[in-house]
Amino acid sequence: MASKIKVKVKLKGDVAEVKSLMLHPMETGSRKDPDSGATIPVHHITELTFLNNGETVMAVHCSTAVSRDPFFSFSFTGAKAGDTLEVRWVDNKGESDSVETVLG
Amino acid sequence: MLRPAFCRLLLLCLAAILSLPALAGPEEDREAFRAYFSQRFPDVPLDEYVNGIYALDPKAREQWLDIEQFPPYEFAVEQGEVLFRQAFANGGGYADCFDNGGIGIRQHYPRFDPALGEVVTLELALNRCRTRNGESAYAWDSDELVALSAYMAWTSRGKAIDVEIPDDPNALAAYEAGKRFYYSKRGQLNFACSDCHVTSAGAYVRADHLSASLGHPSHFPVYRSKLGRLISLHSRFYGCVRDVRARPFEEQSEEYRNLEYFLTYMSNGLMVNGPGARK
Amino acid sequence: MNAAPPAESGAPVSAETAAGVIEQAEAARRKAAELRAEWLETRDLIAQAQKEADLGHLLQAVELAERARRQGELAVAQAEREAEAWQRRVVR
Repeated sequence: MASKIKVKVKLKGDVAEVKSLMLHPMETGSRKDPDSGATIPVHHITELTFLNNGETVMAVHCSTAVSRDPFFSFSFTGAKAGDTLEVRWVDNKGESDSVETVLG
Repeated sequence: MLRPAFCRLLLLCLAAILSLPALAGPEEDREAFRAYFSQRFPDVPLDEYVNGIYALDPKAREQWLDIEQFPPYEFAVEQGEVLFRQAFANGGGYADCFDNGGIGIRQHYPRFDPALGEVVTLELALNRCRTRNGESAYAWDSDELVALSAYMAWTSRGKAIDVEIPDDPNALAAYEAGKRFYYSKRGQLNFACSDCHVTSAGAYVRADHLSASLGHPSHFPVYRSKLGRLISLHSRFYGCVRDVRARPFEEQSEEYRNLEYFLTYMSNGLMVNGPGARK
Repeated sequence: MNAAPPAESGAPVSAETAAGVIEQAEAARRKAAELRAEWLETRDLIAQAQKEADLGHLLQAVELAERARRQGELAVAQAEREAEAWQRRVVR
């Protein structure tokens, strides 16, 4: 199965424009199963971190307000070709995922 | 020498016969459809209609182009490819059931099967391929079937829609049935498909901006932001029929297959651009 | 949706009457269904009417069944009208 995180980075000078799409159910814990009526348990990303060469450039604390298969986009300065950008998340169940990409 | 009055009568009759409009066939319908929208929206090139409302609404288009930079349907296309390549328990595969191994052939669907006397959609063909090979059929709205359809659409991106009506009275009847469905009012709200997507294309229904039917089937299956997943064309038909408060028919019912036949024929010549993303 | 509170006027509705209206509603719905023109909530209304009748709420049952019957009749009329009317909308 392909990676559950996709990341694309556009480098303009020393500004990196990061776009990331990740698969995650992001269950709020409020939804009910339409067939059984049972509440679908909470299951969402709690921490999402973007690191450039090991240094955190964006830290996101997620909760129930973020919808399924979240898409994140942001820019940061001080980037250069050859840098390694890592995207990693941890969810409330303790599951995690990560992916790396090289800039430029 | 013929009497002048008789000559005039003869000429008049001849003129009348020669100017009789040919009984409109599917090609005439398709040309009239395109001409109608050309006239309604003179600044919109016909090729653009495959982008639905984004061909008509510049602000929505901007947002859509943003989303398309990182298409939400990419995961489904990848999943679809994995599923497509998976062999069945009997060793066979989807490639055995389609021309060209199932790659780059989506633009020819739906097709009319003269032996079965019915319209065969891509989804129907996929499930029949499964059952013929001893696999259980997927539910019509299952993630798996939609992913397979998304992958096959992806392999046909950029190809012109090319749906055929073979020289078979049942084929033409199916087309005509789809056409009749499209133009018939239904439901408690008494709407025909054409009321929203021809007459009121470009207008608003509550907060939704109505797209034109020209180009509609090109981008299915489609990722719906509202649902966070891809849906099939028949799922959309189901929703529309329900929204006008008629009891919806089931996905892959004869009604919807004939409707898909008619609608896709109307979009012949336009580019497949599935899977698409919509709100 | 809830039925209106029972009106205290006229003769009480009998169980037979209620059953009769429900039957008529179902007949109308079936006719619409045969024409592939059934409306969205008709069968739900009939089910609700039956539930109310079973509980002895006969006025509510009749009201719901009459609505369902009317829907069935209107759907049939719509289908019959559309048999010809659709042609006029065809883009030519």
